[in-house]
Amino acid sequence: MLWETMLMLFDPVILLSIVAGVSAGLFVGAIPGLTATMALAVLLPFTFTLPPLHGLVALGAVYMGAIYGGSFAAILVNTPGTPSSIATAFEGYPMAKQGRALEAISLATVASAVGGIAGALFLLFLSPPLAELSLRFGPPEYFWVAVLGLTLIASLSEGSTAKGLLGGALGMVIGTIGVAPIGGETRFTFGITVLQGGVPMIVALIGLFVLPELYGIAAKAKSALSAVEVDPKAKGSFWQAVKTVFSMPGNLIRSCIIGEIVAIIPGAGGNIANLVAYNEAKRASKHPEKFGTGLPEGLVATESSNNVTVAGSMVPLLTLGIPGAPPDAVILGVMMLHGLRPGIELFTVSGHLTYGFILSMALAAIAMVPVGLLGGRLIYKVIFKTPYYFLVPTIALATILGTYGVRNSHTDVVLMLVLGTLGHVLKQLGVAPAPIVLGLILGNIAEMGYVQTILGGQAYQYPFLKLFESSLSRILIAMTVLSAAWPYLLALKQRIQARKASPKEDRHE
Amino acid sequence: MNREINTDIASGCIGLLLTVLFYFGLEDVLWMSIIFPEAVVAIMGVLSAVLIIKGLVKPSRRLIFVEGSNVRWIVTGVLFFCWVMVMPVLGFFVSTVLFMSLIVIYLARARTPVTVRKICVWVPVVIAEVAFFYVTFTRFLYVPLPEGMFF
Repeated sequence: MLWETMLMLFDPVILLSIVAGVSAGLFVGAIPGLTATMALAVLLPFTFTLPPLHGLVALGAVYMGAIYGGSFAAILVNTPGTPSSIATAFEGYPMAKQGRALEAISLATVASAVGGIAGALFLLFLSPPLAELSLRFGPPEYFWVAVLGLTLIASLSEGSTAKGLLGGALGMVIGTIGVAPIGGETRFTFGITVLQGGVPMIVALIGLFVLPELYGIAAKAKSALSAVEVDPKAKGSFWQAVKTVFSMPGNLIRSCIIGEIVAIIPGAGGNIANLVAYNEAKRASKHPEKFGTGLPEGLVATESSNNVTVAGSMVPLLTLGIPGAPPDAVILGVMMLHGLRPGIELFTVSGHLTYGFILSMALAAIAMVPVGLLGGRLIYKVIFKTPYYFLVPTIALATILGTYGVRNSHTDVVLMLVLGTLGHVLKQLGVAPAPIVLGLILGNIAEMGYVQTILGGQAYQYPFLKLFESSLSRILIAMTVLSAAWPYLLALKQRIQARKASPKEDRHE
Repeated sequence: MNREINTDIASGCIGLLLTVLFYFGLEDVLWMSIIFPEAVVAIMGVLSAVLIIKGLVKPSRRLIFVEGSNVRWIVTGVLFFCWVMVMPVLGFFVSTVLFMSLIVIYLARARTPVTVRKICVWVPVVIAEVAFFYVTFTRFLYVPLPEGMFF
């Protein structure tokens, strides 16, 4: 099947979709403040009428390009284009200041391509066994999987866990608007007929992720900082970069593995992977004191690890339906739009499509090299020359079209604006959009699992006890408890370490 | 709006308002359809109450809406809503050209003096951009866009 799928990908339209997707993602990702999630949400409408494979391939390429694009702004203006490139700026910008911007871009390009290919390979080999395991999942297990996913709200909360949980609950309530999946009656329609169809996930995603950013750009009246000059005579040859990247295999392998481990944990993505990989590269280095002065080692670690997470974070998405990172939620929305449900069926009934999508991620990683090296500088110039007052209405136009195109509904556009504006106000109050979206996605899975379990447990005196019956459920409950307690355990460990360290410091004094 | 507020109490109040809204939105339907939303609304109410209590017991204040001009994002938001509201009346093309031009002119005022000459350059750019999207969606992607009194 793999071989046939691979041949299928060499269709010129698919190859064009990959190149166009990577270019578009690179374009949006390079704009500071615009994330990969936003890139996917904005470019979504262009995939609506495409066949499922073409649409998914294009969005996968956009995702890959956006994460890579974040490195451009990080290297050239010390402003990470996306949160996945925070640590890229630590080494990339000092290199740019030393007149080595082209070298840094070439290194980031090669490392990103290697990371992207590694991520696709991880996805290819890890997903099928996990999908087979998902066959053993019944309604109670799916309920617990959803609850496990919801515990990740703590890591997405940006400060207060209670606010994150409130956002998650709000997302779940929004997800219950419309016809009940079991029972078939309508809920929370408030007499508005159009709400009977519910709030489409894509509509909520676009509103919650894009509008707060647009309001932010409008308020600040700027989209990016002024660019630095790139010395065209500086050394930045591609082959030199390949040699440099592969001269540190330990760093490369370690960073890819870190990227994959972080990616599999739902809720954690490139934003965490790049920092962890950078830190580990520094710890393993023979000259850690030179980190921060423009060292290729650090740049390679961050760029390879964050691009591993692109395909890597889709392991829980394709097998269990849990988005590994916020951009995956958009991919999930598109999959559902085409009637594809995560799980083993994706690898059997829709095998060509799924494997085609996975392999296309590797092709997208390869496409980053020519797009990044040839078109990168041009894209970069266009981005920095586009005034913010054209950027805001243009992105708004794309979001309106994207929302309208889901089901040709004007009400959906109004809903998107209402949710986005509410999301902006809540974001200011500390309730981030990511937990709301996570609640929206997982609420549906949790409801199905819960109601089906209670229905199946009617023979018991207490039907809810069926939720705790199977050993798999108990394992998931243990994982849920551990996941929920993890941030607190880490904080406790840090506090104990700080307390142990402080008496020593006192003695030195 | 540029001031420090107790965000726990503020978010708790918004949560409580939404809880009340959804609580009264619960209709008399079969238990299968309502058991889950009912539980989630209750959880939302509890979390909102927890936030309000936390805000009263251990107040933590933070600055909100501090970056840039609040008037600018609010006006931009109002223009977005007006744009979408007039779309069924004026049609997609006309309403989009009109409101995109208005947003460009309004936002540009923060960075550059707006002159008639500049507007004469910006409006054709907007028309070209909207025409590109219009043609792409209606002719190539077969997405019928809202029509109004003109077309």
